[in-house]
Amino acid sequence: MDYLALVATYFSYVFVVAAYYIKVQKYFKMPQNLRWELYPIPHEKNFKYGGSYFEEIEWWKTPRHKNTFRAVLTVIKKYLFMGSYFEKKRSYWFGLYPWHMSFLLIVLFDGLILIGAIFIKVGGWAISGSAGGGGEFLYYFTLVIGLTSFGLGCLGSLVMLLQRTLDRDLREYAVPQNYFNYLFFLGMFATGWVSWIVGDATFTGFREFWVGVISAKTVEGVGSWEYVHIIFFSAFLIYLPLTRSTHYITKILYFFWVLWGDRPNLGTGEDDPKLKEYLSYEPSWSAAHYQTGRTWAERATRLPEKESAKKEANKGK
Amino acid sequence: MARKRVKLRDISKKPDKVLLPINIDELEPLPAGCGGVEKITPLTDEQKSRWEHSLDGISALNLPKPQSKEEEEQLVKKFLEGLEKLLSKEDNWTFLLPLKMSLEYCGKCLACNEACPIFVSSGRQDIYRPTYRSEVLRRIVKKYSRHGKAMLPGFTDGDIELNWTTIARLAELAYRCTLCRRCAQACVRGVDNALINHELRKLLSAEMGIAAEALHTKGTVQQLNVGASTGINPRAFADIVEFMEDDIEEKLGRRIKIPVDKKGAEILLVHNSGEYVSWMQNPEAFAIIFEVAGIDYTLSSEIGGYEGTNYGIWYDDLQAARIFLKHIQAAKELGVKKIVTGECGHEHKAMLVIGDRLLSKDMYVPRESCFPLLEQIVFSGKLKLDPKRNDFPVTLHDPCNFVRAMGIVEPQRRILRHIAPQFREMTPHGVNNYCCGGGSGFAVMSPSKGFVDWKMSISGRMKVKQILEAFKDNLGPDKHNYVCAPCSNCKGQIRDLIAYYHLREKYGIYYDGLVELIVNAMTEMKKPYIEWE
Repeated sequence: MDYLALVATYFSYVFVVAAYYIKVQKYFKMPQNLRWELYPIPHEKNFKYGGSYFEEIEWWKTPRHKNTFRAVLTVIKKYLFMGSYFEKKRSYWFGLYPWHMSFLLIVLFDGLILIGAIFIKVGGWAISGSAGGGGEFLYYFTLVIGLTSFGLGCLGSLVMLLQRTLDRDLREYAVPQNYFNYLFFLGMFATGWVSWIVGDATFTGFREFWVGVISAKTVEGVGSWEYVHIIFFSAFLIYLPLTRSTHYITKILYFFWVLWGDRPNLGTGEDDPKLKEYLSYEPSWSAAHYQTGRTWAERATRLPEKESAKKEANKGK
Repeated sequence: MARKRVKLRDISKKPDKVLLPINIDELEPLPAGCGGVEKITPLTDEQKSRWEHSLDGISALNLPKPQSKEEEEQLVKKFLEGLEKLLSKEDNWTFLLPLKMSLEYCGKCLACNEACPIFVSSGRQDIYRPTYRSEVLRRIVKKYSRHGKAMLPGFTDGDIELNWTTIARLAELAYRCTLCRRCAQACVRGVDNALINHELRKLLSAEMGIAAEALHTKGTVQQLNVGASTGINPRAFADIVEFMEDDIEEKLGRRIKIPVDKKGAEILLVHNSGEYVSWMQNPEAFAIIFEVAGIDYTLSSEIGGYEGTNYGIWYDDLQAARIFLKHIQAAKELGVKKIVTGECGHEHKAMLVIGDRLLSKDMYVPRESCFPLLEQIVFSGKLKLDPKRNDFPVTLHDPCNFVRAMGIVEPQRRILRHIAPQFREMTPHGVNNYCCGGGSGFAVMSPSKGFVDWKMSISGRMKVKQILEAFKDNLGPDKHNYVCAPCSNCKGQIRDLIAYYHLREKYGIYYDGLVELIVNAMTEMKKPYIEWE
């Protein structure tokens, strides 16, 4: 089990980073879309009521006021509170919120375990309830975060499972993967709990394991339930990119690029190279009104013969 | 009786049955005294035999039924080819990124559903959920397309069967959403069901040649060929301008010259041509205000210069681009310093937002909304205004394109607060407004009586409710209540709602634009500009 856990940990971290990178990177390669913003936009001066720079006369002559800090804060608030769910669908929020928080917290928990392991390995720290100073703080902080994550994760998974099963509308939109996710994640969080209850109440075993990960060797002092949880967690990391979880990253892009993407064209030619490329694409749409040229630019600047317009006019009659 | 439940997979089943016959008794109730007039006129037997109508018994597209199994198979094949193109950058660079993200990341929580006025007004019918058509399309993409196919579609995305019935119902469903984007506003992840619907309309149009006749043949095609979606050609436009000058002379007591094709003017003012046909008092009011305020502007008689509509933004990017470029070309030829868009929501959005990234440096012309300019004029003191002339209840309908899509919220309100002492807001308003129910082209679409009934009784229902609530302290046949709807399409829909529910006769509700109210307040006018009859 110790070798399996070690290999699974290395593999899962490499996999999750690579898979997320590949998934997210494809969006960076996509063409810049036409503007499609949605107000209110938090970086706008009149965000409070949803106003934009279009409210100003000759807006292109006025320096733009852009409050990036507020935009970032809005995203953070979305992550931390999911207020929109609370407003629009409160019953769902009560299941989703603990579930969502448990994911953020388990990642934080894992990070704290790693930090603890680094301090043990490199600094020779003691991490315990009586270590005093940073070691004691880290001990208690890790304990609180870990147990909160396991608790919220179990609660959220169960509530979400029940909601998806009992709510007729949610059930209709559910797919088999939803149920699999609830059970799989429940298993992961539950093994965390079990490892704490029947195994090591101080999480020392996890830190020892990570000392081994840093040193690339197996270590003593890690219990079987801890190994079960570690393997579950590795499977979780491998599985994550196969779910819709990329939205944790892509929704930031979506907000900034699309819904809040109100950067105006000021006629400076800044985007001309991109535009030139897009206009040289050769679309293959087959409706009659597209058949006026090869490239996007040709088609947009040439009209179909009036005859074909008449033909289209008679379609469907 | 419990409402009929419709499952996602039902969309491909029972082609000969209507998936959800509309039941008027299930619609969201209207305030007491209103309502009771709603009906959904069924298609005639002859229409039923020709047109697809198995979604909800009505037809927005008058989509011909395939005549054979082979034809059905060809259409399904064509749809799948279109789907691949929709997901490729060469064919759909314009909206590929938001489409892919919206297809990918829906959590299926349905939190957006209650934000949709059509879903709520219908009595919360499953097929009108903003998530219904998106989810069907998403499942088709995941199961059938090369570009977006999932490894285990049944497991990760749910099953769906693609056949002609699915496509026919989806096509009609694409025209049961006004693209108001309230659902997108409600989504925590930013998933945009309206955008998915916009893209579905694009696929149908660009690949299969399926689009609402009023938007395509009589809309963009006519505009590009003749000059305006209303059919006004440059010659007719010249006659209209002359008629407006006569009419203004009568109202103002002096003749003014409306500038047309004035080279080097500061502003090219572009109206929705619907104004010239149905609400000539609107461009006339602009002419009066600009004349009195001494604005250096011109209208254009060129194709592309006198018609601000751009129905392409609702269903077909190429048509949208062609029209937008015509607008720019007209401005370039006149050598104006900027284009100002008139009281038309989608004209605003097409000109200032959608077209913005289509302009290279050499094509660039600044474009701005009429509202900040009107605000500047009103508060400049150049017009002598007496708000007492507008001393009647006024409420403001926010066109979705101004507020949610562009963030133009306050200039029109500051004007109203200044010139209309009894101004009151609808609830909700501003960026949280409800669509008039005529958005995305519905206002100009009358493909069948049943569809007209549908947009009166369902898509416009929430607006009727809001209007009645805004004027609840002053309702009566002898009262005067003014719905300020500064958008040509919204005005069309509100005009029809007022007629359909007899709001004028029963409650004294009238409608028109913003500039009419400004001119009505001008002391220079010999008689009231607003005519209540």
